[in-house]
Amino acid sequence: MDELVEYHKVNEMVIRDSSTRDCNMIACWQGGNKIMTFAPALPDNQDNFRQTGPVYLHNVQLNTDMEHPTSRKLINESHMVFASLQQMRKEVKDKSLDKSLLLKFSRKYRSILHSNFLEIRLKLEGEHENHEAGLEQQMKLYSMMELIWSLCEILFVENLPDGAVLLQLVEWCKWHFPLADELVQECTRSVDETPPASHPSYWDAVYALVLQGRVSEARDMLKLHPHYQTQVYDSFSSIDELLRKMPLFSFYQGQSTAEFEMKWRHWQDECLKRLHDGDFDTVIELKTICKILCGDEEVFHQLSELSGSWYRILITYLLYTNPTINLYDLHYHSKLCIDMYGGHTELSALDNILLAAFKFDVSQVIRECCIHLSNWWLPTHLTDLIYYSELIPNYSSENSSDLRDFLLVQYANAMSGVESLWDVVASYLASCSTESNHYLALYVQRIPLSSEKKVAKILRLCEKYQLTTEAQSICKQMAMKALTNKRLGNALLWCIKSNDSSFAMYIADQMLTEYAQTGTFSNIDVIDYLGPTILMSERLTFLGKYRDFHRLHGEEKFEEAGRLLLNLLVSRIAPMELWLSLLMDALPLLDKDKIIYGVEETSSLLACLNTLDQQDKLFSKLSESEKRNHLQRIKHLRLSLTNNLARAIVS
Amino acid sequence: MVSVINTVDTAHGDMIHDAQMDYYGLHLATCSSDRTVKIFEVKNGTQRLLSTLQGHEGPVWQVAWAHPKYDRLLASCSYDRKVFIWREMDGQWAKVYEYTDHESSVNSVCWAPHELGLMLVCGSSDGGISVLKHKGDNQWEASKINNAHTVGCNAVSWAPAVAPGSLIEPPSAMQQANFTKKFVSGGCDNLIKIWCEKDGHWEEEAKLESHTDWVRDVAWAPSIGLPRSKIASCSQDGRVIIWTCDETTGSKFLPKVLHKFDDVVWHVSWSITGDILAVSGGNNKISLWKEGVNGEWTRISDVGKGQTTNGTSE
Repeated sequence: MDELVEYHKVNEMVIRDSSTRDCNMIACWQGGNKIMTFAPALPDNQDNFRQTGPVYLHNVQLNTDMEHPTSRKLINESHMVFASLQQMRKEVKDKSLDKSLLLKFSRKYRSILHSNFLEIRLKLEGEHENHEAGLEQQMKLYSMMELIWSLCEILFVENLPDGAVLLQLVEWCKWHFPLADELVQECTRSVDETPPASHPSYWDAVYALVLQGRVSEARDMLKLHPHYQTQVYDSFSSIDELLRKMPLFSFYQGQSTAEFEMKWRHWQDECLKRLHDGDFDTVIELKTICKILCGDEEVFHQLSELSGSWYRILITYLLYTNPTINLYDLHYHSKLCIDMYGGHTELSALDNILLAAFKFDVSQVIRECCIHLSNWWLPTHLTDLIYYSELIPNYSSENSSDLRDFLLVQYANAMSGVESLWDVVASYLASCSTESNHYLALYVQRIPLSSEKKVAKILRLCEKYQLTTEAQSICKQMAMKALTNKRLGNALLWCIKSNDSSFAMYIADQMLTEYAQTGTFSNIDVIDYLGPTILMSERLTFLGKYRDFHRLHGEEKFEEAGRLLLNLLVSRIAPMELWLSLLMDALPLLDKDKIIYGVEETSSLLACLNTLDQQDKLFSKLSESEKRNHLQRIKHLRLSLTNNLARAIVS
Repeated sequence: MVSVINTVDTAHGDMIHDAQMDYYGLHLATCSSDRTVKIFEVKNGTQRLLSTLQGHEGPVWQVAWAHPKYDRLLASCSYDRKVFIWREMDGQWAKVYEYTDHESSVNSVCWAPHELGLMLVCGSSDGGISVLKHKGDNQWEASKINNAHTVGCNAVSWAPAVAPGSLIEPPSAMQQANFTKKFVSGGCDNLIKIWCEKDGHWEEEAKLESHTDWVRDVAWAPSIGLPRSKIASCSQDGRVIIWTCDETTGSKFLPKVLHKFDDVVWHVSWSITGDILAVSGGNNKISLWKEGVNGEWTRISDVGKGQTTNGTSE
């Protein structure tokens, strides 16, 4: 943890491409967070420049963090938490959730971070040699994020009454900086060969425990010392007594601050007295421990190696000098400890983030995280979590988009390069305030329409967020795709969904042309499911009616079928190009034993045939063989219709 | 925070001038001085060459993909004064239209937002700009703006179809007529011009003066629903300017110099959400600029091109 990598890097990168000397680089966005770069010749001097050798194109990507396979789990799991948090906000209208509920969510996020951290560590331990590049960096990043998150949780989310935070901060140190535990383990592990007390790290271990306020563990360690005797009252017994009697302030124990402070003062006076009385002059190490208990600044300086950083010494320092410290006074004391570690100029990126947190400046924490962390995960989720809890003043900027929206968009953008995460990306974008709805609209249009199932999902999303034009555009693309694949029925369904009547007419025409050529409909059953949408286009209406005719005919309801067919012709719903086909359809009806068409109807059919016969323009479009065929059919039809007319008159 | 994911050997015989990913990032088109256009399939981050389109008789400067709802269409423009429109049918690419009405090199092509229908704008060194409109059945109608930029037009870019701000206050009926029909052009007269269609004619709506040398590229930022239009321009004078126009306070574009580089700036490119601008400068460098929450622009990354391969200089 001590060698945390700083993520504040100079973002400069060199692409090695020797083939393109003396010319410039061009960059084009390719969507998401990817850019293509290449080196073109310049339009002006293209005559005197020719490139030899291979011509390369480089794909460059920003913030690849979220595309690292180890991030997938973090992304998906935290998305679940995020989504349920949004859901809960929707349910309680006023948006500010109960603090205990927020704390629960915060812990969920933190446990996800931790389990990811453990997983990477396990991976690193498993593969001793050639493990994936960057894995170690990822692990460091995770532990750093966990450290920041848990501090923010204590300060911003948990935020106990009276602002008494010290015990939590002590726990925070214990959890994240296991140095004391490591030292203790080191000393006690080799119990057979060397007694723990002779181990070179023995005293360091005791100091580290005391520095973290873990007094009972420190006492246990002291008991392992050979000079520790229970019978005789000596310096060991004296320090043991002091450690045992150290009062701990806890909000939950129901004691008042004043009561505690009195006890504390009494105890520390006793420590000071024994120190001055020379109780520990014989054992210098015990004297050091007592100095810690007395809150001696000098001894903290001496032990700064064991503390490691200003924020850890800050907590120790407060523990022994100001145990009832209020949350809002933390900042004042942090300065002293920072000076102990070289002052403000020595602060790393992480230090700055933590310092901002100790200053209780949420905006600054978020800002520092945005600048220094290599991903948007932490600032985005943290902001979202505490956004409505009135800790962040509605941070409004020049372009009136607020911080939460800004971060949600950044986070979503960083993931948008991974196609399989599209629904996660959409979910984050959809959680933006309504003013930022357009980000979702922009993104939705760029999701590759790779399967019908996926398209259905995207369309549901569009419907949910009223992205009507986007949905129509998607349907139109699907219609186009189906049309190029010659799946007319499917194309028709899509274009009805997209509400495009002229396109529907085009497809209906295609289906009819196909029928006129082959005599069969390939996807006609689609028509049966159209319902009222069939009225969208005249051609579609005809197609539906015509389909009805075929169905009636198939069901041997010849009279009804005949009436419908006649209707189609007389009402002129049927396009002229198909009249001949329709009239031919009437032929079998004329052969039935029962007369289907009476005198009047047959005359109407004959009139239609005559009209068709006079359509020179239509006729001239046909090829020679088609013309012959056409004429023959008309002749045949005229004969049959006249016969039927005669039959009708007679009967 | 920036890294090269992969490098593609484009198999072009000469320099590439443009590379464009299709709408969904599934196909890549490149064009080159070798007079060809190449189409690649992009899958799992790798590119596979699908076709090489031949037909141009000079270096091909730019390519542009039409919206997928119009099927797979690609436009290319070339030094040979021609604009080609290519179409894919059953995996085969074929030239379906050829526009030859320019008297000099055609430098830039750009498809209109799909909401406006199938429409293409082209800018040429003859100073003219043509707008090609699809009339159905592969019939294209051209309207030409002669002498749009004296000495030549270098770049054209469409405004997003959605009128800025209309997402915040949705118009009562979203009708075709409500869509903005505008584009921006930049040329050798150091000017940037905004063109707007009125009664079927293209009229100069605004003239933006600030650059002191040839304007090399212009790019209209995608709409993010705010009542603000944003255009990036770059020039021979080394400056990159962001032009913004607030619809709520009267529609005048105001310039803000993003940065003054030491050398010519060739190209500006917006990310899809319009929040990051990639600037390609003449100093062998690409820099990325991001607009923060406070509206200030910061340089977030630099990508430079090394001149040597693993230490062995040529």
